[in-house]
Amino acid sequence: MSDVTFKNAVLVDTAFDRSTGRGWRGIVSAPSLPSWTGKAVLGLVIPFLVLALWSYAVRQEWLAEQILPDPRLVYETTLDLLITGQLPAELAVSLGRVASGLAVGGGLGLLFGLAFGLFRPLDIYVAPTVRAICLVPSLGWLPFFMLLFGIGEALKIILIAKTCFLPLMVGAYEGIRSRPRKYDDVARALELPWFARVRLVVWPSILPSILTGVRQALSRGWKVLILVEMISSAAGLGYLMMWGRKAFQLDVVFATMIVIGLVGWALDYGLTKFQHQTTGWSFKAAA
Amino acid sequence: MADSLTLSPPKKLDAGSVKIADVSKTFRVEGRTVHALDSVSLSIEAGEFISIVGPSGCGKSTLLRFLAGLDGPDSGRIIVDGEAIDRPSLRRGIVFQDHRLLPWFSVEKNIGLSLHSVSGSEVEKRERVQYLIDLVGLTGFEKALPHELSGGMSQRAAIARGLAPRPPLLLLDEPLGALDSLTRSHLQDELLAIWEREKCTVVMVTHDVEEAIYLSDRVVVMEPRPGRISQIFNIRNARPRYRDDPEFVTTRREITELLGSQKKKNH
Repeated sequence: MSDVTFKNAVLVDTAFDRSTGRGWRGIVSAPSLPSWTGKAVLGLVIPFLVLALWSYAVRQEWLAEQILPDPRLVYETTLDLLITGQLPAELAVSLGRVASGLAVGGGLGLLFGLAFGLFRPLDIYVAPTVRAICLVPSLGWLPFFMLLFGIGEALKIILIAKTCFLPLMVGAYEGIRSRPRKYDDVARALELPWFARVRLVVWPSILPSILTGVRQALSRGWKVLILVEMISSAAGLGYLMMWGRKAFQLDVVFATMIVIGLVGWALDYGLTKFQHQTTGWSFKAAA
Repeated sequence: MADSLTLSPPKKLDAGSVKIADVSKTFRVEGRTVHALDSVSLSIEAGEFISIVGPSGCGKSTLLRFLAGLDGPDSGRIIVDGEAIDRPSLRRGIVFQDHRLLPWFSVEKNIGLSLHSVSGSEVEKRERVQYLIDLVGLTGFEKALPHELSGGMSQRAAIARGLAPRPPLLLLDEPLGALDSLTRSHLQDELLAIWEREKCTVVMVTHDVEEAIYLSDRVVVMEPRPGRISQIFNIRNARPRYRDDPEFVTTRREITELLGSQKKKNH
């Protein structure tokens, strides 16, 4: 008797959902966005226009050849740098630096943010000082850090770490402060032990905010890295760019700029994809 | 198979009786003292279906949170199966108005979460979860995330989560309040069927007088300022009930008039 009731109810309910365009089926079968290739093509429209303008400018000799190199020359230089292995080597050095800086600074930022979010006295006594220190730009710290740590590898890692610290601290802090409390009642009613509560209820709710922090940390860290490498380094993309400038080889500078931009974009794109995969619910759920 | 899963201590047949004795609670709101509950007493027998109706501010949701053990009264006692309540327990399942499914977990995982602290093998638990998914009519939506479900489907999942650990007492806080009337009346029939099958005591808070009469053995009408029980109606009609039955209509008018007179008194 009751089984019949359920089945009828389900049929009516899902039929209703479909007619209003809501629910699981509606979302799965909604192909209104352009496909992956379509989006890629659209994203390339403006770069191609810029390239066309660039070629035209060179042909018309709007700028001196030494200032604005021919795109073909930049292309050949890039290929050259790739084949000789110099570009991959410099890229690897830069990526390694940004990874260690992010790990150290981001990790510390995460810990500080969680601590400030969880313990009110820490937030009141310590957080203002930490925030103020972070708000002095990384380059502002550079002279002091150079004297303190020299111009070796440590300097670069520390500066990137310093840059990555704030976004993760803020992300973790905001995540904790703005997390929906209503799920605490659920955790209590379901008698979840402390660790399960943190792992299954609290952590997932602050993860979106932390991942946003990671993305910001990475993109800021990437930019600071290039600057630091330009000022004091014997390797890395920033160094390559600096070397190109000093040798007045603007084709190398342009090649490096393009690589920096593309890699930076790829890193952010990859992280965004990861973010959608792990915390996709947070983009859709009405909290 | 999944039917054999039991909580320790095992469920007794007469489990789920409630004794609310002289429960009072005051809140401070903007410097004023509000009597949310003023010496409320009520006895509920094991296996009963009880509805609590009343205007907002009559303390019905507060009372339900006390029954769940999420909050406690200032004075008075609440005893379930001979034990005073001092904290939440899986022996008292609660379904909130806003379903409160964790948005990062699938339907399956959300329901499974309520078996996290229950003893039993993983296989048994998985079977119990699947049984409940089938029971509330969400077969095929095991992996769906809450935001992919409609309001009615979310509330079904929330009811399944409340039922999973086989609580002798099921507390429903306006579980169908946010749904459209069509989905709502379907879920009412499902609730009845579930109650008959699981043989648990149900205490449901609702705004809807008709829903209360349609489902309950007794309807408790509460009044605000101070929050207390104003009258209890016994509904003796055999189930399934018909909303146009003369007795049903009379009871509904009596309750509606009682609620209306409260409104006049308070304004």
